[in-house]
Amino acid sequence: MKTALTIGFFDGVHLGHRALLQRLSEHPHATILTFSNHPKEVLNPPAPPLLLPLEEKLSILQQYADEVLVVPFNLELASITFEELLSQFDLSHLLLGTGSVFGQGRKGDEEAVKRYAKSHGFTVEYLPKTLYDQEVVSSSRIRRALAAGNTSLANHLLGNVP
Amino acid sequence: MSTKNNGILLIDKAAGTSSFYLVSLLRRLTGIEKIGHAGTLDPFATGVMVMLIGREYTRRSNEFLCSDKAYRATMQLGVATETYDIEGKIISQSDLVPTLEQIETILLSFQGEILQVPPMYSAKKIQGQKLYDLARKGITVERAPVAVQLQVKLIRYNYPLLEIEVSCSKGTYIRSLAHDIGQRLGCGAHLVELARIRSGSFLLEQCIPQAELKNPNFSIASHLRQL
Repeated sequence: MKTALTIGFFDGVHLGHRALLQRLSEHPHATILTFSNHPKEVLNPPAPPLLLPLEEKLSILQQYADEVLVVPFNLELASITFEELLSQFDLSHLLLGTGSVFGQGRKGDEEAVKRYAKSHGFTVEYLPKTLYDQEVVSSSRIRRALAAGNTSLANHLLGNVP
Repeated sequence: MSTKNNGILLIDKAAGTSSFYLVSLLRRLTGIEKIGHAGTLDPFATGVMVMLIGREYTRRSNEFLCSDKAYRATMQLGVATETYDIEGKIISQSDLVPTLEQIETILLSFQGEILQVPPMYSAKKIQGQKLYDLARKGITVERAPVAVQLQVKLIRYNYPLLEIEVSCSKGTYIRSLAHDIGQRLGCGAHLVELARIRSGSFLLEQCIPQAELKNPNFSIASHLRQL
């Protein structure tokens, strides 16, 4: 069965992540590829403190996809090219956030991924960043809000507030 | 906000479908976008799925995720697998046949608060070979034990099958429990069948069989509960 895929660490599963996951979940056979440790641990240490423990992140992710694949992010994974990573799946659709790059040497940028998709018969969509108060929602913005004691903002960005 | 489009729907999940399949099926049947659930079940498992329908209830998912649960579980003694259930590779086999007395004694040590090491994420589900290899390596990654609350009752023992009923706090992994019981018995074990019989205050008897959803005369709206 062909898979609609997204890839990410999804720390905190914040509003921006949720917009992307909601979109993913509208596709048949939705799959999320995520990691059990922060990619920064390997690529550019130290990694920031996590907003959510792995188990809790997974229990939220599982509400958006047929399959949540979890692999450790290690040097071996970091050395896989984006083409090789994508070739692990039988893809119908790939959904990513604007500006995301992945694979060895950060070569999987929007242009390269779109070219690969075209030659392999699947569609790609880059979703724009989600804004809150005219500012991009990101895990680092939430960490900054928490460090500044602004838990109300952090909770809003995490989608914990109706 | 209309109560017609908001509420809890209790489903008895069928074996062989993913929890998320229920989400997408209900979306199709109701036309409601915001649908979630209060805790996943593996595809091979059956039983209580608390489906959250509509914005109000999906927002409250944390409230329901935290509830304690009860399961009926069958494990096969003498065979341990990598994923602790039927889908993983066999990692050990044993001819040792525990006595009923041994089993009763061992089950006593799984009452109350125990420390449980969560299972590693299932390499079985990984699609490509390369990712599969990486996930298998992840199995050996140290995982921190978590304190969980358990009550385990022996239902039936007919070697090699051992059937138990488990009441547990959220976050308990029944396949880890099956594996741990096998380790303590010295013969190894893995989970072969799992049915969730309670989630919080919701019982299996209150659930609608999954197959009912496909019945054209079935009305979802009239089965929604409000809390």
